[in-house]
Amino acid sequence: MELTRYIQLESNFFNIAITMYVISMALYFLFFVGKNEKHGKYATFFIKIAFIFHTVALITRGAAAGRVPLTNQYEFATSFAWGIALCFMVFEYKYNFRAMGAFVSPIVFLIIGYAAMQSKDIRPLMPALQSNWLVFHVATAVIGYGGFGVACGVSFMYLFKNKFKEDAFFKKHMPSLEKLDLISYRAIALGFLFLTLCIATGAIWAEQAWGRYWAWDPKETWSFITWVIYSIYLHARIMKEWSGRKAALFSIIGFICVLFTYIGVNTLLPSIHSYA
Amino acid sequence: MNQDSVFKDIWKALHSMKFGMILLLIISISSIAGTVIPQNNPLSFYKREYGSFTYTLISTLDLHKVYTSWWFIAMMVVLSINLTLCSVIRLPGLLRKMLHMPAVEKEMSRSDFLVREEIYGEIDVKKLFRKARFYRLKVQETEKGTFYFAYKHRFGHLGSWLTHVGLLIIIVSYMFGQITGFDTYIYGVPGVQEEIEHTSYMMSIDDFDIDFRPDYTVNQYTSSITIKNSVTEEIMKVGKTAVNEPFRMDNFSIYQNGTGWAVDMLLERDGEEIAERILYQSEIHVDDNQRIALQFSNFYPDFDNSRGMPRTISPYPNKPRFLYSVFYEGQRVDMNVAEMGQPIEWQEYTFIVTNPRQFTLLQIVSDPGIPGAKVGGLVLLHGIMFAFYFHPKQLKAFKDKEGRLTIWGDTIRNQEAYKLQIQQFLTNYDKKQGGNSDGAY
Repeated sequence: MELTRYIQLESNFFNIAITMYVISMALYFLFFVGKNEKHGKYATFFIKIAFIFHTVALITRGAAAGRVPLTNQYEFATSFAWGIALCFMVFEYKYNFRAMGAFVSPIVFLIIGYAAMQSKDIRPLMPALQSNWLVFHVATAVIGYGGFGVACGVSFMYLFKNKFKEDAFFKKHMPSLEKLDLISYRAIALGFLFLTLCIATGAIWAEQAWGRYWAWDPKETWSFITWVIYSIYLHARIMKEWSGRKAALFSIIGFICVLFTYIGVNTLLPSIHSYA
Repeated sequence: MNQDSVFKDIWKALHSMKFGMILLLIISISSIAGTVIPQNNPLSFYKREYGSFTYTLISTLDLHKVYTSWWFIAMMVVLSINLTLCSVIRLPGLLRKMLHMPAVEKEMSRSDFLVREEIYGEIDVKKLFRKARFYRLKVQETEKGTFYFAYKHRFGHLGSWLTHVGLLIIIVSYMFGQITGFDTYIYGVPGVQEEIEHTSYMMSIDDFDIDFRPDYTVNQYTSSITIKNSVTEEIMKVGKTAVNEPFRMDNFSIYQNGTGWAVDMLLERDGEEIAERILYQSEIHVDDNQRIALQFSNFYPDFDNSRGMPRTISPYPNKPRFLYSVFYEGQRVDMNVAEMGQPIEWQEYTFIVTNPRQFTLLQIVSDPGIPGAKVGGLVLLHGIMFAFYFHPKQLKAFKDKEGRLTIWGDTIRNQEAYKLQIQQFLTNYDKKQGGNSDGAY
């Protein structure tokens, strides 16, 4: 199949996915505000459909490019949104609290919306990117950032929970504050493990490509800052000093750092990572 | 405040987790400066680019070289001390927790059970533990009965400790590598031979190849090199280095770092040759007591000026031109684009430039800290895995002389989930056995 045909096909799948995510987000919102169970079920259904189309779009792009689609701003943004959607579905399945979708789906939409604004051109890889470590490095970033995205959504949920009057609907679909705190912690633990793997694989790759495993490049430095923010969060929980509201706020700050590491560093700071 | 209490406070701070966290936060916040202020430029650059107050701040605090400044290194050293003390002090307690078998009397007199149940009837305790996926069982006979104890994922206790030790190893290895290693560059065209600084070797560049795709993007840069003993010229190793495929020697590696254009330059004064050399892109050749100089500013292998701006339409030297500047007695007197072989004349001097070809830029790095950093990274990752996903769990049981079995469990993390897991297990087990139990959760 021709490259342009592949790109058209991928674009169609991507557009269907983004539409489904928007529908799902609206339904989650209606479910949460209108307290209508049906909307919630449809929202979960639509996010699954969106995820399937999103996955197919990524596979199609991979087939078109002849490599793993994780090498430029568009590819990483769409994979990042895919990672958050995947982590959200796993956490929704595990904890069975549908209202999480009202808080996490806007984050998915935000990231995939950013992806939609990027160039979708498929270009051959520059020599530095032709490494097997690329797959491990970026895939671990996708899962790690996905975990942090879910934690951020859940932390927003925590902060919002006090604003709403507790009734049977919220009791059923919104976890207790303790449970929300625990879900956020679990998502951050997952994100932290994968961020560490991402930094470790990046260091190994950097040594092969650039002759040093750590050189305080802005991207490396901001990954380190993000890692420190989340390690402080984890320590503060152990010391039982920060749980609940403070922890939720810290989780949101951590995700702002994640977004800056990904988008801010690429657009605002000079970095040898500027293709990522 | 007396001196003793000051030392006590410093000691207390040095091994406290809170101090380590604050230090990490300060290190990360201060490292932001290195991402917004361009690093490692001469101070004159900052004087020119910033206001006087900002310049004073940058020069006083070494913000132009944040990561090698004395205060940044001092913070890293203090962090290493904090990590070392925390790790040393915590280890005995963690080992006790990991290896200790609780005393029966103490356990039986407890009232803070996470989950506890009494079961009556004939029960095969070892089988029950196996069903609960606790395979290593310790049995202790006492006067009052038999005590059963199983401990799963006990390495989980070491998770956080390993994480800290891993980080410590990485920091120490990084500092060791920075102090004992070196980093240097060699550039040249095929045929060039250069000494490798800090080593007893020299390197000759045998070949340099750039693999272009049909759309002229670069697929790979490859340099063929030979490493020889500097004194005896004995060949030590022959090989290639390409991007992502470094050339490894015992204690250093050679990386394909960059490329550019080089030409052969001839300088004549009144028709008599006074200099001949390879001139690399961006270099200036200064001669005759600094009276005359030629700067090689840019190169256009496939020159095109149809858009009013010099550019190249392909990377191949089909129509090579080079952009130069001539300096005479310190003043720029000429700047133009010239063909290969075209004489560039000024006063009694004539430059002739020929034979354009691409040179390779190779980076030679020695970092003896790399093996340590690898070990540290591995330890750190295992630590995080153990800390998050290997929760130490204990299952204990006591069967008294009357045959009554009391079973209880403990864990330090994720207690609610473990409590639920044991309750469900015992309920299901009880149903299968058709027994009679008396829960006391």
